[in-house]
Amino acid sequence: MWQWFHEWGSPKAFYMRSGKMLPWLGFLTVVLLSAGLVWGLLLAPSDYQQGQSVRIMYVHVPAAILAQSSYVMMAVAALVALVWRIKIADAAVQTAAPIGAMMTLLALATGSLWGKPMWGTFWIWDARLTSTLILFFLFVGVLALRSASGRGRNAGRAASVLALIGLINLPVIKYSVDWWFTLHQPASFTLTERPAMPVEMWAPLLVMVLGFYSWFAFTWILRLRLEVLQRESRADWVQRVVSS
Amino acid sequence: MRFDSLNSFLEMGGYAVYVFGSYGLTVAVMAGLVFTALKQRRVFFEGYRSADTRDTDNKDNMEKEDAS
Amino acid sequence: MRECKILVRSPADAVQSLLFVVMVVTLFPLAISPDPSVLAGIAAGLIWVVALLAALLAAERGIQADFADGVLEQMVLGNTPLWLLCLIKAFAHWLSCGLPLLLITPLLGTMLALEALEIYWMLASLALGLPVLSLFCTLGAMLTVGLDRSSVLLPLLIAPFLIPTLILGTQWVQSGGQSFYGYMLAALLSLSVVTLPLATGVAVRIAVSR
Repeated sequence: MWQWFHEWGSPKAFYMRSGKMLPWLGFLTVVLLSAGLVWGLLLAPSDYQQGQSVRIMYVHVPAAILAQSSYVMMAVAALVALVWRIKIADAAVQTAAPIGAMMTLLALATGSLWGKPMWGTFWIWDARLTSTLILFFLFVGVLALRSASGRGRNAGRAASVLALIGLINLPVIKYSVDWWFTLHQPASFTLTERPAMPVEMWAPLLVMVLGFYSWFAFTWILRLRLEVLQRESRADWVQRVVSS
Repeated sequence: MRFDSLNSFLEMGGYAVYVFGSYGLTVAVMAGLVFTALKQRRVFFEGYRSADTRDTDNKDNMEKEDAS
Repeated sequence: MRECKILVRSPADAVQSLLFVVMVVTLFPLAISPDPSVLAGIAAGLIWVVALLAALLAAERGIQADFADGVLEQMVLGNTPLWLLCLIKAFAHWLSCGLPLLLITPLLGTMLALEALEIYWMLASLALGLPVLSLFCTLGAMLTVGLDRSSVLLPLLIAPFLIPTLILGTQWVQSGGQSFYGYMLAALLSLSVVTLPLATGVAVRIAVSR
């Protein structure tokens, strides 16, 4: 098992193997996302209370889920980079951060656009939106620390430490924000979670969530491959790859 | 199909701006991140290749000097 | 030890924090309303936010200078466990910023029309919460020391982590002292004291290797 770990840890091995995987992953992404989009936009039922605006759920919820998951994945990569000093894990942290930050922004934007028809306002201080905003700040922190650290061999270590601290604090922050808002919720505000969603609604949602994950994997690997090429640009195998 | 006509689809029960705005943003972000990745890759390849040809030119020159 | 000597030499730092806090608190009645009922409503949150800002401003105290002087390298190479030194650094931060704030809180509470009982809970929440802020600020300072524009970077990085303390602290006061929040703050403090100095130690090693 460790051998598998170390095999993938070599930049060249990662590059070669991921190259074979990438077209399939891209295909899967396109299939899942187009199916999900059509399903959510056209085929799924509208909501009794929210009308057609409930369709925004099919992009907002996956974006929010992915925003959080991508932070966790980035922090796990940071752990691997710090503890086992695997360079490609460090590159993984660097490439995951901008994707995660954009996902978080998307979650915030779609949340706002959903909020206007739902509550009549583009922004509301509720637990989910607020924790998503804080998550965005966490991503920005990692990005900022990374860029301020320069380009040395150890440049990514501070940002990786920050990502890990963020991971450990994330449950604490979410808990305290949730608590804060259950206490301060105005009486007229209705929660967006419903006890049970009919299958006509959660099935397309599942497809979209899977599609988002697939897209994330695809984009992350795409960027990671380029990062590997850039870092190893002096190596022979890179020369061979570029000239082919 | 949940919509009676193309028009009712485009109107989205009055929420067209919000729904199509959200979906449009999503597609834009997803496609954008992929396209910028591909473009950066192309830029890297081109920069690498032009530096590479310059290097081999030098090597040829040096080899010629050694030979003469 | 050494940290206390430094502090005794520059009480100016503590005074700076005090003046900052009083100044900012003064701004709010001017900006919002001098009405005591309004002020009393926002007082707990306001004092806590000001505490946050003061802590962030003071975060780099002593640490930037230590980096420049090579003291951080000595810390890494020395015999004392690194986490202990980081804990002491955080304590120094608390002494120069947190403790003065704690002492001036009754004054701030009065300025913001708080009742005596509310001021009591304010003090309790700050007593438990300010050390947590100090621990996080010291961590942030070690993560950013020696970097460009670190004084802007540090608040950006650390502020999200201070939010749970902020929420727990203000809620404790606003709920009139419900012990649940006290226990949660105490738990947060214990957890922070045990884990953050270790993380700060890692940050010091990274900083020294720059």
